[in-house]
Amino acid sequence: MTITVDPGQLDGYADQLERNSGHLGGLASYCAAHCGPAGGMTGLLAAARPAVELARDSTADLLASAERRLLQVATNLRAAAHGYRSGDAAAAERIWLVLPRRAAPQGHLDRDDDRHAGDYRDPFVATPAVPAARHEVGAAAEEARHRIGVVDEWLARYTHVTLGEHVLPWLAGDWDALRAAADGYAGLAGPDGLPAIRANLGYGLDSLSSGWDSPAATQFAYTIRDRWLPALDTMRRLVELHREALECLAQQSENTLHAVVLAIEALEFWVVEKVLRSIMLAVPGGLWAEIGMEVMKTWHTITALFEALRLAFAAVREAAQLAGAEATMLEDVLAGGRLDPITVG
Amino acid sequence: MEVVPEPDRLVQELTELCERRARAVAVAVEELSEFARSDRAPRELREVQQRIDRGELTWEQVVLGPGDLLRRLCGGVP
Repeated sequence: MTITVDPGQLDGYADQLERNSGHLGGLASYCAAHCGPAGGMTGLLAAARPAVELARDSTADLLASAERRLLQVATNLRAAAHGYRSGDAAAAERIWLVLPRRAAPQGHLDRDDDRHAGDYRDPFVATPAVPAARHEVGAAAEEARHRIGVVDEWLARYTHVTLGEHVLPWLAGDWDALRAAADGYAGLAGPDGLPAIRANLGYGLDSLSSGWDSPAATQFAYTIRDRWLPALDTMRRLVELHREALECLAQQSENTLHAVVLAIEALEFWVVEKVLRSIMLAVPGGLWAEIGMEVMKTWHTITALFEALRLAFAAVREAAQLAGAEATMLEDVLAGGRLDPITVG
Repeated sequence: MEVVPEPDRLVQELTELCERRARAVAVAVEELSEFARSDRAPRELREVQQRIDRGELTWEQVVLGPGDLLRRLCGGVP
């Protein structure tokens, strides 16, 4: 067994792994803070809250778990460095020959870029920007509330029917919460999120290639390059899926609220035309009952619109549950490499 | 199972409905104004039309406004 090793370089990469484990922890906190509702998901939005919270919690848990797992990898690498330094190369080798739950295939060759040997600085910083506040959907909800107020004030003067009593409770809440959460996921999936950590781990592994060559080195490189890097890619795809789902819901909410405003506007036009004609004909009899019927029709239209949106919210809950299951599977994949059941040295 | 409308199609339908109704309002305003300027119109209606012609008021404001004017113009308002 030929072993070429510079334990200092193993420590250098262990430092880098620890730093990036910290970045993962930072992303977990970012996710908890920005990828879900701070509150205000009331009214019809309450139907979307379970999906949004499930997505946020499973993603934050996955990131926190990845933080712990990567720290464990760093600890194991440091233990190997210690073994080599103290002259117990066999023990050091054993750590990475025995630990990985899935070993590298026979004849596996690492694909290293040796242009920056010994450099364990992070080329990228994983600190996504805090999403900017959004107001598009909230503005549409506010417009709908305003229109209902105007119509209801008029209706209250002449009829016994109003819209607000039924519709306003559905409109309650912070309608910008969905798009804000989608922006949070965009931060995690973006260049200052998971891809930065992925690039850092790959860069450092290349830097290590000339400082460590042995069967254990091959296994270690396999663990990072063929398990951790794809796992980080999968995590990025997962958060991208959450972003797409939430963005889609936000857009659907915005469209629905615009449709509600249009339905009320159509009612207003209808009322104005009927009243103008009744002034001309000077026969208002029956008009007020007719207005009551038209208000009911508008209410039915709005109910159908909100029902469609509620169903969309429910469908996304199922998608979030599936994504949560995938996150659990991914955590299991990363669980390989625990030091505890094995006695080293 | 109740058929839930596709929001995009409904938005399109509602947009077209609003446009049709806005045009109907414009026609009704035109017809009412013509009538209100004629000798056949009651005095109260002619006075309102004169205020509208002076730009002090619109027919939409008469209908959706505070209500006093509409009550006077529409004897049958409850």
